[in-house]
Amino acid sequence: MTIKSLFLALIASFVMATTAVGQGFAGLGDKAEGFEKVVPERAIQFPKDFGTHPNFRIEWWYVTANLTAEDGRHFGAQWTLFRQATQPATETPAQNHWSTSEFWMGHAAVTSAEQHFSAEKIARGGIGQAGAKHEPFEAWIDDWNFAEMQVKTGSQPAYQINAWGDNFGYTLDVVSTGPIVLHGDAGYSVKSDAGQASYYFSNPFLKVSGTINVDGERLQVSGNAWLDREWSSQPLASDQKGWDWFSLRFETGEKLMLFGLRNNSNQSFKSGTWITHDGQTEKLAGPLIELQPTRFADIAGRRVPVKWSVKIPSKNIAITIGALNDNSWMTTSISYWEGPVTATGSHKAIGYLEMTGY
Amino acid sequence: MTRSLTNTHASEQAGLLVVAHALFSHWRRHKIQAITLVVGLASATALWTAVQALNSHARANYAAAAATVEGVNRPALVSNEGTAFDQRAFAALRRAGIDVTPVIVGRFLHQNTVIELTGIDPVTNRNGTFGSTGSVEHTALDGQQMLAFIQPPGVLYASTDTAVQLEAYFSSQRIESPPKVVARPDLTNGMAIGDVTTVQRLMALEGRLSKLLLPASAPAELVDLPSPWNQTLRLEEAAQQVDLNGLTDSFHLNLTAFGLLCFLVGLFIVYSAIGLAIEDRLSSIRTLRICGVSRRRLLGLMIVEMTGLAIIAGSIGVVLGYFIASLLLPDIAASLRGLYGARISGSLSLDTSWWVGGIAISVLGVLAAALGGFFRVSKMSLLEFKGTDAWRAKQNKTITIKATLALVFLTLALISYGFGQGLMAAFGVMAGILLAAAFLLPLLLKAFLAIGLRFASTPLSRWFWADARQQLTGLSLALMALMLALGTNIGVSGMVSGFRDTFDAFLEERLSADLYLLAASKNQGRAIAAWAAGQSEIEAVLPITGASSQIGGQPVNIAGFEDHASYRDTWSFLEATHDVWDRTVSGGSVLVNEQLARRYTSWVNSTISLETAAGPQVFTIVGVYSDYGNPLAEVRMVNQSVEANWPDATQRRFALITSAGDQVRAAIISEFDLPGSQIINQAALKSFSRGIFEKTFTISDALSGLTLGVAAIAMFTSLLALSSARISGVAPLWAMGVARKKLAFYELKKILLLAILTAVAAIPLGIAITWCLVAVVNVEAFGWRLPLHLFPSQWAIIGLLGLLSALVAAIYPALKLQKTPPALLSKVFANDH
Repeated sequence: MTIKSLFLALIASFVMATTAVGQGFAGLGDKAEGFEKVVPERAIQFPKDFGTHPNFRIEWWYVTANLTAEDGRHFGAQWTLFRQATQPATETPAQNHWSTSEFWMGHAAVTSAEQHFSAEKIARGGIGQAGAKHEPFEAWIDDWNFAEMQVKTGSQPAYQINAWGDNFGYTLDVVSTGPIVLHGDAGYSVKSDAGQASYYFSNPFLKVSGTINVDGERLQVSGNAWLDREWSSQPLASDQKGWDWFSLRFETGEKLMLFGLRNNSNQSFKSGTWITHDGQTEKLAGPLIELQPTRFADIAGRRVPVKWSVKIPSKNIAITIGALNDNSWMTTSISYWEGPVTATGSHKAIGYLEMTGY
Repeated sequence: MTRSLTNTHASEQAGLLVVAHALFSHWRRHKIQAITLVVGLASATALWTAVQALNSHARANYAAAAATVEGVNRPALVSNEGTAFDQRAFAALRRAGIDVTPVIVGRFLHQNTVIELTGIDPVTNRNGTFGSTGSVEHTALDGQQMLAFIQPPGVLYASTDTAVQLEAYFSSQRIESPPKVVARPDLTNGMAIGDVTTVQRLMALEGRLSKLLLPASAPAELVDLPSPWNQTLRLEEAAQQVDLNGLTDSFHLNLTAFGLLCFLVGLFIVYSAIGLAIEDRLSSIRTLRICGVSRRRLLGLMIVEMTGLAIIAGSIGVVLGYFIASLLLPDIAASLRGLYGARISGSLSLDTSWWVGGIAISVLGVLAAALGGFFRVSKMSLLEFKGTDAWRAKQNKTITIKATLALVFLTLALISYGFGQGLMAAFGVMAGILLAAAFLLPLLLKAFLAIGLRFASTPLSRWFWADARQQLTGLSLALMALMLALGTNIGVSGMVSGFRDTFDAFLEERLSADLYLLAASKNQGRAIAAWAAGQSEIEAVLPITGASSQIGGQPVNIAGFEDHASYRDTWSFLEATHDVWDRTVSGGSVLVNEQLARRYTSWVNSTISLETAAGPQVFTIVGVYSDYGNPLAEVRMVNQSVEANWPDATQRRFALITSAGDQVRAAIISEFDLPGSQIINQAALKSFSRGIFEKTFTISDALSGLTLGVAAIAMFTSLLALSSARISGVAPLWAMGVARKKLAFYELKKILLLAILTAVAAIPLGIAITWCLVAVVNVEAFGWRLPLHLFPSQWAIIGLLGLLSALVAAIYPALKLQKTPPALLSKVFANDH
């Protein structure tokens, strides 16, 4: 075993926490002894909840962007930062100190119709190599940054996001044009019938402009992005093996977030949020959502659904969702599918799809 | 039909067993021969295995070390002061996009052994290289093990030996919640690897780092450090990879040559024992043939028999070899560490390959020794009738053949010396001389005994000389082995003692300053020099600058010196111009070590081209100095020249001349917080340097001593084998009235006489070997030539040891003769008609 595979083991273990055998995808179904539990009563607090939650086991900052270059080509960009703890923080960690229980992982990707680039960074907490803070907001790992800019457009915050990897990179200026939306019950997002849950909010109203570099080519791009903030201590039930997550922006201005958590017998626990153009939300319960894969592709030795049929009769939604690039496979320590999608049918939309556990 | 076939098969099997029984019963009746064969083979295999074990163990350790030093090839950032720095640099640089990974190194002394702890961050150190200190490349850690590595109390990985030392250290120092120590045989000795937090905690270096490794692929010179780190950190270029295998090749070739020599001496015994065993059995073999046993079957059985004996003896030899190797290993380890900086662990494991190798060489040796016998058996005529005496008679004839062989080997030695190149040729010269001398011995002894016979007056003394000459044939192989052993011993100890004397004088001359110190940085060096200049008890501060250069792509060390009487007065040269110092001080001319002079055949008044900061520069050689023990080529010039040609030369070494060494040393340590190990007084340095070589010599001494032991066994076994034949030789004298006691005494005297003659003959051989070692082998192996010193007192001691071993070997057969019952002696005449 080389250090590389050893390192994969580390990642697996840090995402899997301290139990001997991780359960659910990447160990997210493990029991969370000692960590703070996700409860319905806790109110989401701004801007504090943009920062870290050391008493919870896992959290992430997630940005996906659908971009169009000046020549009309479509691209997707992803910027993700995960924080994972193997033990709950018992006291305020000392500054400038190598953490022995907190790990950070960053994923970045750029997807075109032909290519998909991904990169990963891993760091320990405490030393300042990676981290997040809420005021002014900043999340980083090495020289990948997602930071609030001092210059604001109107009253809405503006951010700059950058990351790079082999043969790709991007610098995106992001302006928020709408309110933050809370999923589930005021941010309490249930993930299984057994009651697993996370705190989850998004900002789907992000306008983007910037540059991307792909294979030595530098392109001006513009488009829209979606920010997710989510934290939990045990987001999955032990028998849940993965999920399919959709974020869609309809031409009509509405937005839709959907997820289906698959268990070992391939039954999905579904949930969603319908977001109006001004940010009003409506929780979509599982029975209201029909989610059906219609085409599979062989990717990285796995059979991955790359075309979906989504129906929400209560909203007169009957759409087909297809990938910009079937091969949007993240070749990271924990691999998964993540890429831009377009929806056709009753409504037209663009957005992002994430599929894990295949 | 089937039944009769089965019967035939069964009867054939039974027949085979009977023949085997008849053949093998020889050993039951000739136990001494069997013992001779097994002892000879076992000791030969033991010495061979020991040497192979030591070599392969050392090489395996180099492989581990090579994996370890892999990281040296990564450039790193270190503090300008050479000390540990604030770890905040790590995150600052990572956030500036510089892909660094941290290393913290701490050392502590435990029972006179320095243990180096290296702390790493496995999360950012993805490719498994941890700087000059260690690697867990081969570590198979799963996620849980990795978490254990990181989480308190942490894990330290160390070689088996170092793991034991660490455990002892933690318990003796009562370290609170010590890390778990895990032994990993693939790690280099003397160092341990743990998480950065574990090492920081153990070494009380919280918040500090020793270096930040840069990616091997990054163009290091383009690294643009953010402020303030551009003020405090500097780039340390990737060091050149040290090829331990190349460096230590000569050392191992030396060992191998010794091993081969031991094996050859052992084979002498085996050869004579097998020759006798086959000849003794010729009559029974003939009988078996007459009884209808096929030649093929007989030969097959004999091959099986010999192979079986070889396997038994070989197995004993491997086990013995393992013990010899483990006894010698600490010295080998110390010697390799001192000479080449190669660390090897001090514990051996009995490897399968040694078993296979040891037994294989034993079997091959036996079959080679028995080849002549097998040939005899296969060509044997059924009507031929010759006893063992016939064999001995044939041996007699072979003296002429031996003398011819001696001439051939001598010619080969001369050819090898005249035309050969490299260490193999050097050993070729030595082997040629040894073999020539060995084969010449019977002729010399025969000639001497003939002279003795001429001067003998009484009948008994005439018999004594004549009988000694008669016995010579049976003993010649043992005597040859004895001479080889004595010659080697004289040769090796002559070389060792000569080196000791030369090296002592060399150290006296070269280490003339009282204190030698290594500052942590250029600045600290300057500060110490400035401070020292103001101290009344310090006579002089002599900086020694250092740089690395190349001659035709090969590395060469550049050492600068300050013009001072302590150099002018003490240094002597192998070759120098009359104005060597003045010319060196005026610049443009340089001194080179013997290694360089020999490697590039560049002696005084020739020029060398060195790579300098401004491109190649030509220098004239005005002096060549001996530089014992240095494996590298070296050029010395005045400090000003070094600084002018290599502006980034290190200026951290100083020689201090003072009459109050200890006092000054203590003052510098407390004033500048310099580790005690970095300021060393002359006496300590000398004893350290001597220590390194003493260890090397211990190995040579031990191996040559063992060779002598094997020769003594050869002597003993040959005499025992001959003792039964002696009865017929002495029976007529007994019959004429010479007492058995007197006869036994004559036997003893005879052996002593032969041993004395052999020992005397071994002296010129020993001198030839010493010469060969210092003037041929050493030059090829290490690049320096030693003056030839002669030590007659050593010859006397080694000669006496040889006599003693011959005497010990002869006593038992003599006693046996003395106690031979008269009936047995008179039986000799029973067959006379």
